[in-house]
Amino acid sequence: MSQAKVFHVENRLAKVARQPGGKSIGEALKAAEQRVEALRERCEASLIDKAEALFITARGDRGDGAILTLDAVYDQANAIYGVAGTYGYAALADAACSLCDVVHGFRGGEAVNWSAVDVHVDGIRLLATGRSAGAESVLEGLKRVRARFVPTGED
Amino acid sequence: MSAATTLPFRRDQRVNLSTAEVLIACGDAEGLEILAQMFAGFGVHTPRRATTVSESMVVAGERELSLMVVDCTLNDGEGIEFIRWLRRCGTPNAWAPAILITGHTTPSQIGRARNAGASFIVRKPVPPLVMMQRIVWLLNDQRAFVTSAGYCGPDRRVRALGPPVGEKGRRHDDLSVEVGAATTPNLDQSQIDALFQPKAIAR
Repeated sequence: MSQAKVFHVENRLAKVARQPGGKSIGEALKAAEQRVEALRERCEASLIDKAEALFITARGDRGDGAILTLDAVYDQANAIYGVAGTYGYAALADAACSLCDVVHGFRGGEAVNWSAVDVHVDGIRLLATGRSAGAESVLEGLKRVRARFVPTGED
Repeated sequence: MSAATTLPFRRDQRVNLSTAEVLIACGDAEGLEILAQMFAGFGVHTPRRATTVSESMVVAGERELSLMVVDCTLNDGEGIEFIRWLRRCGTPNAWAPAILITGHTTPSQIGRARNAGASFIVRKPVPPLVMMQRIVWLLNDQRAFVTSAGYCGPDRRVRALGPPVGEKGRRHDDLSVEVGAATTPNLDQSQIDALFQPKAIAR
């Protein structure tokens, strides 16, 4: 077995960041928060587009190419999760995460239950429109579906 | 506990990221834009953007990077693949800090990312405060790098707990858990005091 080499390297990031000038961390955070907030409108609009794209993807090949469909559904749900979480759409983020959980299990070889996928996609489309009425009951329903396919503590 | 008490930095502490070369890779257009704007706010002038593993490889081959922020999901593969490649790419970028961002996260994914050589794994959503915490942590990162047949990346032992009990450490500075007998006499108080005395320095 080859010997492991353990060595120290120059911390280039620290070397750059500790040069004179720059800004205070407080200023940097404020500027970053403002810039991220400035994207809110664009990102909110994109959530509706992403939910529609997810709907089309999920209706794709459910036969031999099912694994590719599941991969694409997983990636799109993951993208929705990231953007929704950033802008405080907790219910939508939870629904997208739940879909990822379910699809992750199916990708691992479990028999695919497309109804479980479809009900999640429908819930996500509803929540992506920003209508908060009924969000809790949608999430409750998705939670029950998820529990059928993702045992607690399952990876 | 309030967030203010857990911050590893003071808000008036300065960071200069204006000349930092930062690669931001994310397969989702909005996700990429959010990260790019965040780093622009931090003061990074020109964050390099990539949406695929292959674009990320090109950027890493073109310039010396100070930091890489890589989403787990890229358009032609996983961010983990890129980090694994990076750590063995044979350029100075192999040792650059790399933060992996995950969305839906499973324990196995964390294990794979860690074993690929990610410096940090951060779960979405990643507000600017959390990202800055990780950057400040990386600024103070003293971890050694390890290269071996099975792993290449920062030392995965973040806490210095010494080598496993009963085993000799692999690091040259690993100390035994056995405390040996003193090899020099104890300092007396005057010697200790002398260490704290200001001394004239020859110019």
